[in-house]
Amino acid sequence: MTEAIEHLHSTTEASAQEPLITVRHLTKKFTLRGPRPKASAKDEQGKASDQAQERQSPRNELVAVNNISFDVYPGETLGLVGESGSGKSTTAALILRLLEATSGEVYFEGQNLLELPPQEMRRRRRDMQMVFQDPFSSLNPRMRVGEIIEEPLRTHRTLPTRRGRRDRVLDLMDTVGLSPDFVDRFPHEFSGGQRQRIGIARALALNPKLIVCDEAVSALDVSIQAQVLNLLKKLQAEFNLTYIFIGHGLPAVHHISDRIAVMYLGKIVEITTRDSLFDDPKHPYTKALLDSSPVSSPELRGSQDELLEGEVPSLDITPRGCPFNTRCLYVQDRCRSEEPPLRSLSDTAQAACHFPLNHN
Amino acid sequence: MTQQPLMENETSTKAAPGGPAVSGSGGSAAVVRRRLRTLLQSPAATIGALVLLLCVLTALLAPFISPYPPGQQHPQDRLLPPFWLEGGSTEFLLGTDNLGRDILSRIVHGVQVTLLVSGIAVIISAVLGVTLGVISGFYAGGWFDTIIQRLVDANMAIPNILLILVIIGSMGPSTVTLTVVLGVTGWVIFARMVRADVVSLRERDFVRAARSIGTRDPVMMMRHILPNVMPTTIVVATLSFGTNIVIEASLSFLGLGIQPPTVTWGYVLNEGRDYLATAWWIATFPGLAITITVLAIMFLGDWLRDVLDPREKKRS
Repeated sequence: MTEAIEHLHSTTEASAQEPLITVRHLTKKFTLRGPRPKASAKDEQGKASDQAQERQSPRNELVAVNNISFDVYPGETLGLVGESGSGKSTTAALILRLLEATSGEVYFEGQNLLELPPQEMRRRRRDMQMVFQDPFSSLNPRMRVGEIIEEPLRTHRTLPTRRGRRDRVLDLMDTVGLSPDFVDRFPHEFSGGQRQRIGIARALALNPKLIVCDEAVSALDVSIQAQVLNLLKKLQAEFNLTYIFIGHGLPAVHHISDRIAVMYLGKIVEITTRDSLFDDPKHPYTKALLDSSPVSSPELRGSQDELLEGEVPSLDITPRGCPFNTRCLYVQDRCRSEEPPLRSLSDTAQAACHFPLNHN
Repeated sequence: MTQQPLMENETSTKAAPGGPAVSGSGGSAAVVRRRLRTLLQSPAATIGALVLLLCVLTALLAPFISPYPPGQQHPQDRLLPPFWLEGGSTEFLLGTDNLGRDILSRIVHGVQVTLLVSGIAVIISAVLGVTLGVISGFYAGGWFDTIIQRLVDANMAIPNILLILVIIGSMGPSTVTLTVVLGVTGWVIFARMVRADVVSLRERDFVRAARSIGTRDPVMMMRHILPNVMPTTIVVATLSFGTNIVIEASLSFLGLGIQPPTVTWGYVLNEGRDYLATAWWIATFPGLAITITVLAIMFLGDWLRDVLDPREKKRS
């Protein structure tokens, strides 16, 4: 794992500037209550699943995020993709300390957030905000739009007067494309896209450096998704924001990200620039993910789509060796015994695979 | 902008981006008028409001509108039926009890204490129960929650009436004692229901959002949790009000409730129990009074719950 981190440090664009966020060996384990469910022997090849599925983690423990490391540089957007349960949202919650990590470090401008005392952390939160997935549950139904957007300002006492805060709120509404006339309305009076704009205005209120978008457009209609994505891009350019953009819709992630990390079973299996990921995926899982995404034009579609079979293994019975070995189309013996570290394959690409695609 | 939200509510038009004081002193009369209009749109709530208004007026005017003093006995007219039955007399509209006291007068005089005791007790229970329930649910699994939940369990193990009996028995009966004891022992159901609400609320994204903003826990509870447990609180309060009337009645029957000569509905009701077979009216009319009042409060509670929900304000 350590070489991998050195590689991370030497990423080309990295050399120019210091990362805003540095995540190292971040791990989150959940303790399960009750007896652990028996590993079902529904292995489609009919192999004895005992060996492949032999658990690495002790009983009653679920490793949601497993020793992940990455950097995010100022002004860029890091996309985080993966199937449900791959640990994307948990990672976001860990970075913002909405959940306490089991181990690891998260450096924000060189300061380890996970060691900050509560008071310090509260103060630091103004630099990092979050936009949530469900625009219907992320706004308090009993507060007016103005109060919702004003909350961060009141919490951090950035503007002492009511008048000043009100002006700032109206300003923010204008910035995200909401008519200031709506300031005294309640969230239920808005459409999903408009609500998401309210959420974005709230996230912007304190002039943060980092905004974590947790599936921020997944709940919206496709046409509205584009509007919100464009708004996010516009705001990024305007305020020099850094985004961690979590999504499972590849088009949206492709649209907004500069670099993309692919997660599988709590691990990062590939992290690279957007174009390299879409044009030349290194990890078989990444390729499968791309192939499974519907493409509108036959010309754009890959020559031979290879779709995955089977289901994601349960997190509490992660397979030994490469976590992907139960579903990988190119699986070899080595994959079942030895876990591949995340290693550099080119200037920009790192993947955790013994036999990366199109490599040499 | 994708689409304009549909709004037929007139509040939106005056919500200009101008000042923060949208509903100033001039607006409050308009608000009251608008609320009244929504009240009249709901027949159940209108009936509830009228009944309660009648109760309050009766409570205030009892000495003037009651035909007789509540304790006045008419030895010749014992156990008279209501006036429309054979043997009844228009002098005693709802009949008399075994001592010849006028049932109507006793009901009229009972309103005040009955409503005050039950009402104040509900308020005490609600304040205690909601506070403890919110904190307990917000820190579900923590030490405070554990203590509160064990207290709740302990309380559920003992019938409330028994607990109240023991406390009153040792402190001596009085109206104030009864009110406080009813209030203090009634917090459990509030705490239980509210905690259940809070446990689900605190996982909602708007609470997580507040946390990610850096909002302090007490502020979060006041601003985000408390307003969202109001519907539950109102429903529990209306139920609790009815329970209180009944408990007060039982205690009066045992001689540990409100002491004579003060009359309450429960007291009259229980006095009539021995005569149910022969003089049903003694117990029936106070019972009806309790039923109607509790129903009225429930109707009004339902309406209040809807009105307090911003999503429901669209109509009007």
